[in-house]
Amino acid sequence: MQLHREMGTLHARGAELVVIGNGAPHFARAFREDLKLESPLYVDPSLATYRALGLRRGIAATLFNRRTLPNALRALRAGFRQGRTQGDPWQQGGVLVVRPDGTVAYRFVSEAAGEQAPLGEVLLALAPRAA
Amino acid sequence: MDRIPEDVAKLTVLDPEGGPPRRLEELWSGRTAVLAFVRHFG
Repeated sequence: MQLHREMGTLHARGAELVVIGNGAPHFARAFREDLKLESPLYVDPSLATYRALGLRRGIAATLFNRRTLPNALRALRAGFRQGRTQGDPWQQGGVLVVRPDGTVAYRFVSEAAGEQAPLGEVLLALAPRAA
Repeated sequence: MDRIPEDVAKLTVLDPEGGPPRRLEELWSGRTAVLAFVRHFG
């Protein structure tokens, strides 16, 4: 996850980053400490919210997607080292920008392991709407 | 632009610090929320 590095920018645009994971609560606490995360953090071990919002889950998307290896190499070059998986190993992530009225201004569904929502797209979704 | 269906908005997530479960709709109440669903915590 990279969005936590852009907290100031998100706040300046009137938005709050809310992180949701699927591991056990004690893993979430360690995750918060490791990333020095100041955003709200929740967990959904049932994966019900992931399913309802259309996020992908599956072995093929995780291991055999053609984008998985390039994503892994990019992460390694950036200094990220995957530790023991703490949560559902076959679940993919995603990002939604949801306005206070419940409308979805942006939706990104990860198709492969390590795929991140492009920051520019997230910020564009937070731009003021034309009248 | 679609809207989060009401039944989905009422799904809950857990507070790892032991607080009460939160409905998804509470997460975007009052200000725009960037919901980042992470793969796992590892």
